[in-house]
Amino acid sequence: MSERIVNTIEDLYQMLDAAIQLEHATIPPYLTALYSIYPETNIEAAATIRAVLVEEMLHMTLSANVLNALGRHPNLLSDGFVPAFPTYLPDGERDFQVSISCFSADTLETFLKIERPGMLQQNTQSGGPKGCVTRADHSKFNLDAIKPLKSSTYSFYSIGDFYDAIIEGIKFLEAQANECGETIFIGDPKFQVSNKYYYSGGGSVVEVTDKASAIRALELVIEQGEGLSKEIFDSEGEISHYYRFEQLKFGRYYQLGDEPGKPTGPKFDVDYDKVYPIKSNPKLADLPDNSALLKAAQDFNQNYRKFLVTINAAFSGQQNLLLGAVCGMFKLKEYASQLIRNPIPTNPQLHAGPTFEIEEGRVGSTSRSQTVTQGNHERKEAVQ
Amino acid sequence: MNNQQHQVNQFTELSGALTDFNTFALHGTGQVQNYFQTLNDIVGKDIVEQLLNVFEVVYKSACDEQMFNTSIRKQILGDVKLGPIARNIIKLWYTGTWYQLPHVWRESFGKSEHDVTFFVSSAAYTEGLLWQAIDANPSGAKGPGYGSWSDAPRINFDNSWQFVRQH
Repeated sequence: MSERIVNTIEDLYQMLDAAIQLEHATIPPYLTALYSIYPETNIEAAATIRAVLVEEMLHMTLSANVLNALGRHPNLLSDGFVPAFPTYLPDGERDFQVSISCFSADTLETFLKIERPGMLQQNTQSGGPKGCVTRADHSKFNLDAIKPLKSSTYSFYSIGDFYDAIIEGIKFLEAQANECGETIFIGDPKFQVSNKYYYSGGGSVVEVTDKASAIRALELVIEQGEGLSKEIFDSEGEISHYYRFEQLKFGRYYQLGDEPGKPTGPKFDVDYDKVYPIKSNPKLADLPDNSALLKAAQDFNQNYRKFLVTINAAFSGQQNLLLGAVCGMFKLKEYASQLIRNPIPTNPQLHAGPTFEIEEGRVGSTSRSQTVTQGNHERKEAVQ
Repeated sequence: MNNQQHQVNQFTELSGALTDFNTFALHGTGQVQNYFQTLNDIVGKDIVEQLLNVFEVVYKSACDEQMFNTSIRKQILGDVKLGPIARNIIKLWYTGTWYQLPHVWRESFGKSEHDVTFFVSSAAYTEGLLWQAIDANPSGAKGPGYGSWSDAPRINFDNSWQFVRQH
């Protein structure tokens, strides 16, 4: 059996669709945990989660740029794009689920699992594809990234392993195309989101036009997430997500020269009591009928959906919409914060939160990415 | 429900009636406990209890909103002791600022050393209801996004307080 996971261009499309879904799937949990922290408390924790959150947005944009470079638009409006929480991650990591919850020790453990270093440089299980672990209960995942795997019994161990498989696939498919005098990078560069439109969130966007820029974009994702070399700090002195979260666990900053697990920098406090106690994975059904709280939760979901419509259009040629979308993001923050600060009237020990249930009234086709000509109806909706 | 929780709930309802923002909007600012505590610290728990008791009687005995409004004007806003406090509660919610009570009130009902004009917290400033009322961002805080000023403000009464007959 081939060790390579991506063997056809369709495999690659599916992996990148899953990558975009994956990056997005981390946003509701990070965002909810961030806004659950009381204002002016847990300064270090809030700054850490915020820094990671904005980089996830950058990663989503970078993956979208790679997909667009291959001649396909992402489809953020396809069925199931926003997962029902709790959820497994779309790269098939099987040993934990991700929830919408307040900031807590348990939540931090989940965040560490999301960002955990990959297996590639460790021993992977013999016989399987690189970066994968074996599993028997494949059916419960039912997620996109699984499909390219020829075997139904493997999934990725970490997000980094998942991106490594994409990079390997790009190298393989591009070499194959080059042999015939062709390239897989047939997308129109006009669909690339550049720094002109991407407002200083978590680093610079890489415009993708060829193999080198695609690999640069994807390596930036890996480097910011878990680190490329398993070092705490990268070559630019930036600390990866995994070690950022570890600092919160230890209540202490890493400094240059530290060993993993042994930070020696300045100490700080993390106070899990200074947090609104959100009901984990809140649903609209948890809120009283005809209440202002229910209406606010519905309004949030509707606004979030509008936001996805806008981002989708921005990834399909209307990049200028990203500039206005920033205002929408600030509004979403206000709406989410209002929900999080409200006790649930029928169970006042627990607070409400954004439910991210946006299935109703969904538009768009059921397929993930779309060829360039199919994106038009989303674009019309966004500009209305 | 313990007495303290009951008082906080009554304080939230009274604040709703005085500001015309519903419980959801008031909780949404994250300031309910802070303001309740501020009020207790400055005017004392006896006067707070008296204010909330009067409000409860007014609310429970009102047959309709008009009767409620008339009673709250006469028995709270028009009262020598409770009126200035009620007006301070309105200003507190709208601006996040506790304003020093009038001289006459202080002479009659006690001068707390805490009764000076101050922002309850920097969060209280950014959460002032006035910003929601005019759909604007608090100056110097809560960045609304570049160019947002070109959009007309969306003035609405979606979260207005509702009178609900209690009997």
